[in-house]
Amino acid sequence: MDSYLSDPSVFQINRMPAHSDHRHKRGFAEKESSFYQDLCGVWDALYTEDIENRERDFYRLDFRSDEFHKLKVPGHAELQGLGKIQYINTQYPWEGIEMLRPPMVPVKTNAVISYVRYFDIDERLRGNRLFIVFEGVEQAMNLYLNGEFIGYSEDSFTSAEFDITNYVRDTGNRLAVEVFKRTKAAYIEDQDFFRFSGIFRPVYIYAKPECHIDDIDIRSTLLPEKQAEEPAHEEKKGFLNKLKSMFSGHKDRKDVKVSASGNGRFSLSLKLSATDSFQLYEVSASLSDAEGNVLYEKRCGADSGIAFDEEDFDVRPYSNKDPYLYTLRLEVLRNDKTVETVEYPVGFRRIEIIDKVIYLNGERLIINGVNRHEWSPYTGRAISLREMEEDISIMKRNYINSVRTCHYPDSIPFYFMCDEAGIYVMAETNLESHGSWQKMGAVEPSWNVPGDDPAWKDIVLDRARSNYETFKNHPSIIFWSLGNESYAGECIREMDAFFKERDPSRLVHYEGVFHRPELKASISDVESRMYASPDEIREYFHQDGSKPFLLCEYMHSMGNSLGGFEDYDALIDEFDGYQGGWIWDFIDQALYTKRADGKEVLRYGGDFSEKPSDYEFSCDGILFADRTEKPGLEEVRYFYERRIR
Amino acid sequence: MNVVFGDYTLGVHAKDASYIFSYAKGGLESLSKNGTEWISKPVRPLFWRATTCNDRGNGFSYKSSVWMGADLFTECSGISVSVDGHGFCQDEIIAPANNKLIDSHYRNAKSVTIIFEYRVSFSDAARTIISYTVTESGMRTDYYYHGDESLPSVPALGIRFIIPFTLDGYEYEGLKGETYPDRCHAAEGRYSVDGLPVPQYVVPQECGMHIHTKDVILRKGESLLEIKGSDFAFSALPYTALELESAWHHDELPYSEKSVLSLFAAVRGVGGINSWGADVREDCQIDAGRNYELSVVIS
Repeated sequence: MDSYLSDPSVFQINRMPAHSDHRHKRGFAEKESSFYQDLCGVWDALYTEDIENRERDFYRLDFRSDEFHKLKVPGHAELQGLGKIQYINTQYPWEGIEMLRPPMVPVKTNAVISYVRYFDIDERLRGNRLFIVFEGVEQAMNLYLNGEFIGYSEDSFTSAEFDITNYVRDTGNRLAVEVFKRTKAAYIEDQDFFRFSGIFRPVYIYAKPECHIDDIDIRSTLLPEKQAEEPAHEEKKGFLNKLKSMFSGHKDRKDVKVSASGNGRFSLSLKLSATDSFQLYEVSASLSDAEGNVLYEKRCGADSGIAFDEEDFDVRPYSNKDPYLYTLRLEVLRNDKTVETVEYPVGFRRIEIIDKVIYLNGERLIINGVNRHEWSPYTGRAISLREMEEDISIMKRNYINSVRTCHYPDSIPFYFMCDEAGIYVMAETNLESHGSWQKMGAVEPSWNVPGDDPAWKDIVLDRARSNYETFKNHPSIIFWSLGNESYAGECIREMDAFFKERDPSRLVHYEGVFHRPELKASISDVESRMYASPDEIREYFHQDGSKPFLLCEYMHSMGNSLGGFEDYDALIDEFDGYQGGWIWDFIDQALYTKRADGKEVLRYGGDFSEKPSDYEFSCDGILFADRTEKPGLEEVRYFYERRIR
Repeated sequence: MNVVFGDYTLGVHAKDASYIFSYAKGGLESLSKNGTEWISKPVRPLFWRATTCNDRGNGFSYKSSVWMGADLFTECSGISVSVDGHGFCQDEIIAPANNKLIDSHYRNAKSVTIIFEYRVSFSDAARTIISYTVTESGMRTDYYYHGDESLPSVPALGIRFIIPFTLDGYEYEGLKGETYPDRCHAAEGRYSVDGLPVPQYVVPQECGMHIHTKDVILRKGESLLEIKGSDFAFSALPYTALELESAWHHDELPYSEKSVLSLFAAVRGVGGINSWGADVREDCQIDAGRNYELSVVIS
């Protein structure tokens, strides 16, 4: 086996650094960007049950793939007849079959899918620098183009991007992708869900013109109320503390002052790349409101890094009730001719902790939340835009104001939908190692990863970085979450420090530190629990209460459930620091399959003869798998409507 | 009303409705209104609602499993009858004592009450009584459960009617949607339901409960049956609790041309804190040691 599959220090080879999720066009008027070429469709795929026997030569130019299976991309192999569908919760999926310890990679339970796809480069892309992007491949991939090794990437739920400029031809390209169902990454992708493999999110190629904006970093903040500008001396001191807490950890902003010129503060920095001298190019940036009024306008010469001056002006705050978005327009020009344009939504809001209570735009934050796995009863986690849109509209009509992207980054379009809908996002990093520290219901971290093991530090930090860099500009995101149920140790502490250092404008969340209270000072801005009873929550406030309290999971909506909601709702009035939570979870994970007689039926964990399994535990939604409402949603709606703001 | 003191049954025939109560089967055997028969199997008390995922997770299903047996198998331990206020013990109405009643004035009555007493195999103290009082205006149905504190908590207490056809639907006055004692913040009103919808919890389980109900009207074609009370719970489903309990998938539920109307004196909540141990709130559990009752008029 390739040694890096079991080496925690190698989680990518030649993968491009993660960057903001903007899309560039040839002009503001362009509807669909002509810089992009979709590679989705039906690909050839060779499926090998066991990694040791995989076809190693499949990437070679002369290796014929016409006898291969046909697999739809994006899509899971298991839902297209290749490999076993398996649902399992905390146990590792090889439980009872292979005896492994990190970072050993399974053999018997480790299929490989060798994908091949032939393509020509669209004429409109030719002659440019070309990059290929895989938005989601479970769990790891080797990439080959025209017989050459291009790179390797892990992390099922974040984009893997590779520079193919030097390997690609205009026509007759042969793309070969070797997808591993499991690598050592399996230890930190032990989420409670169906275990799939394959290229399950879009794949595309994009062209970078001669000068291109690689990364955008937008900082848009709602400043504290103006009436606080001239307080009495004592009050002023309190006010400054308030500001300090708002920007704590951010070195550059300690001198922040309330501006007289507006309630919104905007700053922008860009990273660019060019094939020739930057001096040939200019960059313009403007911010306009929904009516088209321009509030901010800059123009300067291009460079690899541009930091525009910070400016204050009056803005309409961004919130769930009023998700008011401004539009940032960027343009790269050469001799006044457009090279590329970018548009990106901007919202102004302020999330802060004052005296152990979370405030959003100066108002106490109440989370009417839900955990959401991406799910389609037909295609698993390869979900359509229509399904995402439906999820958003179900949330809005049920007064759900927040989503936790359990337990991995979601598809990119979903974040833009949340921006528009004002759904507050807890953006969770793809990390869960539940089976490495909890066994038979007991905390037993004898071989926990990542834990304190330096060998596992970079691999989890990389996931934090990918999450942050990709989604950092979304106004809907108010929390970064380090992952789920991975216990706590030095590696997770470093992830926390990474987010704090990079982003003082949002809060960091992690629940698992609950098991190691001695680390609470350096992990998580909030006290987060799952399934704590109302009395246990009262106990927290009476005995500790040092951080605001959130339930990252509560009201386990498995089967006919959701009883006793009022007992949690009452806590909102009892403790200012109790700020709600995210129901577990949004939608039942069940799959349509055909019975022997051809009838289409919904099946759940264990129904696919997969062993071991955790059976109907896959179905805990407030929606049934077909997105119809469970009756108990009536109760959720009642309480969430009362608390929405 | 015409009263028939049969050898096996007690028949009561009002203007619009006829009732046959079976001594042999230990319950109401026929309720016929304007030519429509509403009873498929003799009416018995119920002690089970299908357990939920939460019940299974917190061990309730295991701890309370005796009640599942009781739900399937009860024994009618006593019957008494009262006609216009005159009481008959069992021996005074069954053969040959009934011979004397053929010409008695009791054959024509304004009010007839029959009381069935039921016992469960595992307790001498626990008793269930269902009393039916028939008048021209309908049948008052009273249910009493007398508790035994040594017994485990019960999932549900009440009466189950098996109706021989699938209802076209029903209308009720109460709370919107499916409600339980710990999940009932729903709007009050009059609601109409088409057919007998079964919420599609992937593993079939307790469902379709309506608590705090004042009135239900069952509908089949032109035929209507009304159940009126002050505050009761009911569900109308194509399946019995045991059928729901036994199926792992909806398509494993049996073909059903019946309707199962359950009237509840007490209903266990569904819980929600978690599905692996947390119990239902104490005030939403059914204490087997207490007494519970239910009173409705069926017409």
